[in-house]
Amino acid sequence: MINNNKNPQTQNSIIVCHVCQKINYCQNPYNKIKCIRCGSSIHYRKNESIQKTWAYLIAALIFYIPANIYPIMTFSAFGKTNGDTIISGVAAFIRSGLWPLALIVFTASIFVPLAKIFGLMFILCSIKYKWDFFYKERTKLYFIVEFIGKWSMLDVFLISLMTSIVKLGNIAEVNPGPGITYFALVVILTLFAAMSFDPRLIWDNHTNTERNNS
Amino acid sequence: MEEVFLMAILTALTKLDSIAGYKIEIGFYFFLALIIFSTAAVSVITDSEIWERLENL
Repeated sequence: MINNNKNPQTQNSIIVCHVCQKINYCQNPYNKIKCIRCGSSIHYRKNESIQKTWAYLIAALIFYIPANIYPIMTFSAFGKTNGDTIISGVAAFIRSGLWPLALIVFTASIFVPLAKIFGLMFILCSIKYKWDFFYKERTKLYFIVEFIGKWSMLDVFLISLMTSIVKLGNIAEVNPGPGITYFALVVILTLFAAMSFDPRLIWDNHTNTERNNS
Repeated sequence: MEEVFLMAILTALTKLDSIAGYKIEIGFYFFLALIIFSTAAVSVITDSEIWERLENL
């Protein structure tokens, strides 16, 4: 759908509903508008999207440090207790010869959160400095970041399953460590960051460049 | 998120193998089927089509 209206404040603007994908026409897109079909709030651009995304990302980056320093899981067997951080857990899988599992846990717990944080920071910086190239690639990057985000939950699910399954009294017990709380916060904050970001902002500079050229 | 949970179960079972023995029972296979079918169902749903049909009711 091509919108030829150059100034959304003076002419009818087209806004697509996020919920039902209905195309809505409105005079002033900066007002509070409801979708004519499903009644949900629609926005020309999400309010304070860049500020919110930066805030969530910085908070996630701060929590990422204790998530990797503190143990995510403590394993007690016959009175002996061992704490495992994310990295030591991956190393333990490698020592046991479980390479595929080590790769899965490494990807889900270390690579994905960092890729999300730095991927979104890259997109935000590109908007801030008005880069006039790689529009499609940056949009794809955003959707990749949004898609891979849920895989970070693997470690949180894994710890909750292990904690509930391994309850053998004095013989063996698995308990969640403080690291998993911080890690869960990192995952939630990066999910919020991806949700609060408006990918249409990537294309705003493209529209402005087009307008200046014409 | 179901596929992530399934992966977590498989990882937990593999990790558990080094601690204790276990046997997979029928409930696991039903859970596996639930995850596969629910993921397939979600992948074929088109939200906009549902809304268009609701609008035309």
